[in-house]
Amino acid sequence: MIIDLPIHILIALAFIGWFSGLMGAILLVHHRVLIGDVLSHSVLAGSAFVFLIFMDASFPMLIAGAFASTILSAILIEFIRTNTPLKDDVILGIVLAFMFALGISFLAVAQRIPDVDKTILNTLLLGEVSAILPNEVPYMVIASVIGSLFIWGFYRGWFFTGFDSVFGYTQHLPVGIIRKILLIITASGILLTAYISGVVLAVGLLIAPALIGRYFSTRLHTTLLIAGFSGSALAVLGGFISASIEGLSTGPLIVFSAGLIGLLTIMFSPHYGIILHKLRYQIFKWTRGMENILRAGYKLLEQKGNMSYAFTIEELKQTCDDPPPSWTLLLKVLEWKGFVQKKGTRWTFTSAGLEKARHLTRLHRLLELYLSEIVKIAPERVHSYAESLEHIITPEVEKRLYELLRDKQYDPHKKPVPWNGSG
Amino acid sequence: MNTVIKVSNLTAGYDTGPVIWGVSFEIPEGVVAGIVGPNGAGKSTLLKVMVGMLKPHSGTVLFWNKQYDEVYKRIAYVPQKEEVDWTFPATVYDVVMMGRWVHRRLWGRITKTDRELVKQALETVEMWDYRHRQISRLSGGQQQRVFFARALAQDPDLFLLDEPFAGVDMKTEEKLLELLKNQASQGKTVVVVHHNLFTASEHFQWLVLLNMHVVSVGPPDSVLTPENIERAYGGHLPVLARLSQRLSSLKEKPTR
Repeated sequence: MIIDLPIHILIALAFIGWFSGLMGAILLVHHRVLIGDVLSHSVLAGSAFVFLIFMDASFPMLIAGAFASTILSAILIEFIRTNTPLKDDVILGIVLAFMFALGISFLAVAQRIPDVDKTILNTLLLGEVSAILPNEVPYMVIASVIGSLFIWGFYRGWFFTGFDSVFGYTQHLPVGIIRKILLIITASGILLTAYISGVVLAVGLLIAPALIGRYFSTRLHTTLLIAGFSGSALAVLGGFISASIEGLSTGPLIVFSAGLIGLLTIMFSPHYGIILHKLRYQIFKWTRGMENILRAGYKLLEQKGNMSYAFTIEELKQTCDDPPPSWTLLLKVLEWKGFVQKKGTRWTFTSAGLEKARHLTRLHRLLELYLSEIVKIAPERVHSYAESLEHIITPEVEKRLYELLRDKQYDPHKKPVPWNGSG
Repeated sequence: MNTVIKVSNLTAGYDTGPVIWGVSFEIPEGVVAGIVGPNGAGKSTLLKVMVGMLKPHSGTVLFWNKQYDEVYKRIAYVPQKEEVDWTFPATVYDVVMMGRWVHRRLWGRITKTDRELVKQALETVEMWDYRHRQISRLSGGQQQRVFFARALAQDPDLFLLDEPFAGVDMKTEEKLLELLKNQASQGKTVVVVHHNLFTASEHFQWLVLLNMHVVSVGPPDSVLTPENIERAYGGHLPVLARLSQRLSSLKEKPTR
């Protein structure tokens, strides 16, 4: 299948996507993403108004009209914010509804005017990249580049406005001006975003790349870079999909793919992803289960007085206080790791397994000692606490514990601390 | 002793009316000073006026006999932890580098010296090993140390800290205090807004006891008299009883 996506459209998508990503990232770290949504919904009012007045649907005219209305919205938001005690959600909600209603009304009026080409106005609503003309692309590229330069140029400024404005104020950095610049960048940048994704969905092309950037990095400049590149990639991807399927608007496709990838990011990103988080929890549960099996085995061998005794699962079950999620499966894993060996229906420790089990038992008993003798918890209660703690002790803490309790021979339940055998 | 801060007849507050009235005091060079008082005494208001975030109704604040606007680069302000957005995508290193941006402003080049100062600051607060750590993954005490490192990196002559000991454990509090005392012994001046009267006499060499008016100023021994505390904290008899007990026991102890 040959996808017919002219090069000029590809360039427009890549540049606007990049800039939208940067803009979205800056808005996201300032917790101001909804401003982007309000401003994009205001685009229509200005463009349609200019059309009604001048009967001209050329790109520069529409852009000028759109810019006037986003700036008006921005001023309106700031005015209400400084002069009323209203909270942001109320202010943004009312300005969005008002400006969008105005835009839709103007559009309805414009529809009734005969003999003038107004397709471009309709495409503004949901976005249609095939409507982008080659002669419009240079404007888009230049605007995207200038916008991006502004965002990189105020890199330090974003720290002061986003992270710690009080510090900025005390050091006479222009915090107020930088905040206004952010608003102006958004007001002008959102025109471009709206042009490819439609005014209704533009915010999606801001949020999704920003989320990807935010989830995959811990610093501002990497957040920006990742957001920019993913914005570019998502816009181009949406463009290709819409070009390959007849009759679908680009806007929803770009935003749909962006949203999908945004959601996947939330699920799978390394630091904050939900899936990995759950996975790590499962792995912990399994590790804990295996450690409990090893310790139960050691206790059993101690009771039998024979360290090479071959035990059954039944015997293990009776010795273990904190049963693992699955006996057979985890024993298999332990066998695979070389800690136990299967002989018929019975199991024995390998020397590595015995060493590991002794180590775990030593840790458990030392923790019990620590809890009862130093934290002064009653001996009959220390076992369950030690049971939870033994799985999360780091090597440093373990070393300290050894130093602290090195002359103890018996735990609070009079069981020997297995010091012999290396660390 | 040279005077670093001179506050004269300061009245300031918000639309609803002044919070502090006719406040005057001086803070000498090379001390760790505390601004202490009950809730609502106007401590934060005073600090905001000092750093130029709030215009006073009347009165003046001078630093080394100059206006704040002329000397702000020599003054490091450490805000309360809660005032900043710890979810911001930045590492410990980035935050401390902000201290250097005070001098380089928005576009000045970061030099080798700047990086060296940031490193020293992080080493001083023992956070160099955590320099790549994302700030949202720090404990309260670590956040406070990072903030202090940023102030150090700024290389100021005066530190102003707003409730630095709120929400940190005793050990961190002592460690931070040691750092502050260290700075004072190098001739820098440290001013701490502090709400805990019980630790005030141990922490500070100079106190401003505030309750909308200045109740008393000077070394802790002369400031923390039962009469002054009664004037500042008024009426709370159980608290007062505990406090005077505590104070008399402190006076018997040799100074640390």
